[in-house]
Amino acid sequence: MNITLEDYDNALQGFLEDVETMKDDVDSVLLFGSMARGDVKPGRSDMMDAFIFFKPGVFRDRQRYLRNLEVMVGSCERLSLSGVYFHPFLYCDNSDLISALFLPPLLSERASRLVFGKEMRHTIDGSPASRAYAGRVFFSTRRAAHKMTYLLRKPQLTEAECEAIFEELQDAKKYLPLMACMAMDIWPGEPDLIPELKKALPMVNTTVLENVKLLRDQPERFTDPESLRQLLRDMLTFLEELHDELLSKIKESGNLPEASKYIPH
Amino acid sequence: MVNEEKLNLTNRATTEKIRFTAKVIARFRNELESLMYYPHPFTTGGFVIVFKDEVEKFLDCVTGIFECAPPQGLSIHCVRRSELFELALPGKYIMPGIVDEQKHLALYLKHKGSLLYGLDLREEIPVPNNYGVMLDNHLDAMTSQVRPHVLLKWLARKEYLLLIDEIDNQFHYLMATALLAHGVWDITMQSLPHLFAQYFENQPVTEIWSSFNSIRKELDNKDDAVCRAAAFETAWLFESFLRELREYTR
Repeated sequence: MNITLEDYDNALQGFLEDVETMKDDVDSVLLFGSMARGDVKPGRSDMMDAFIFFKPGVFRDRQRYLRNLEVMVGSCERLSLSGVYFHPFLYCDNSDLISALFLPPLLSERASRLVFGKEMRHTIDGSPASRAYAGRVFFSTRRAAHKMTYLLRKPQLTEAECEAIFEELQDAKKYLPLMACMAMDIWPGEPDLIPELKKALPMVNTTVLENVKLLRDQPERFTDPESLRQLLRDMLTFLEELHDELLSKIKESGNLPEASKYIPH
Repeated sequence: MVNEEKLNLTNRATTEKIRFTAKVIARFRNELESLMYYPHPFTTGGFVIVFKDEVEKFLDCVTGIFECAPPQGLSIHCVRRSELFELALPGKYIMPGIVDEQKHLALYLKHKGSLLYGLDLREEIPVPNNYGVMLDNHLDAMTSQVRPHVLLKWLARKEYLLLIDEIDNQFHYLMATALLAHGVWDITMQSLPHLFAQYFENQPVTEIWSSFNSIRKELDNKDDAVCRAAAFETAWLFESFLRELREYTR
């Protein structure tokens, strides 16, 4: 199936028509990701990076909750038939603090777009607990990434393994700079993530992030498994450098998560 | 030598663990500071493999560990000795299906884990003590992960029974985190509901759990429409559980 920009526009239009049927209960809908930034790559970009903010009270009223859930489920059913790779959107009570991991895209006017209801980006905030969590999750993410090392020396990479490497690289490009910034208590908007990371940790070489971006834009991404493997090696090296530099920074500043008190000085 | 008794396991799983442990020791004897095993209430546990701080080419060491073919289903944590504190930091929530071991990892390693090789470093691993924050994190993760990746996704795919099973697991994990605040960490999936009812007696959360259990018990051989209604009701009960648990912690 040949996916075009129009398919994304139609999908968004259908989603907003569904939101319209919940208008009495919805305060706002924000789009983030490539559809908000305007850099959709047809057939490559996924959807639906969106946040529905419900009015306070919806989550306390069984009938209202179930009515809206029914609409959202129907919307997901339709979106999943659109041909575009689809993952469900997020939703929350407008009076709740959101997970801090979503702050960088949602707080930036360049990385998010209001598509329904009232402007409320200036009021969005993360809970103190989720800010603390966001500041520490880098470390377990690093250990989780170690499992990919088995692919560095495996004689022949299968297509499924190439696919797994590709997905891992995309996730790493997206989340590592974010988590590293949060570990240093730096909260930039999404477009400023890499510049802020470079400013805070000038010794870390971020070239691999650019290379992964280039890989994504190539028409044939798995033609050369060895290049893919090299990119994985570069990303894991980058991750280790980032980790070591972050630890040095923690030791220097002493003002980061409780982690600091456990580090031998 | 690998101490078989300390692995505390049986049959094929034990053989696999001994094979892996022996391979790791043979290959990294000079680089290793310690090799420890931990059980876990929700998973089959894992290994904590501690390298000396002065080890160069850490990534090569980690690659070598994974070349030793870790037994399937067991977690592997590779750290340098000065990084042991990282084991006490929160884990990443990935929904559905992947269990966050982090909350109980340090406790189980310290109290129920075994030293398999090298120095016993269990005392150097801090045990998290900020359980209120931990529960808040868990609740945040539920709202940002379970809503899209379990509730919406599986309702849209009409995977009603799968959804109910997964939410059942998530109820258990939340109970376990809530019980940590009461100092209760030695748990099993089976003992959790009873312990939870004991510590949260007369709280709305226990009533919600009972309602969910009633729905679950009545699902045998029911048609699609009944299962669908049960799945939607499960979603509502789960949201109510999150809300009441959050209010309890305030």
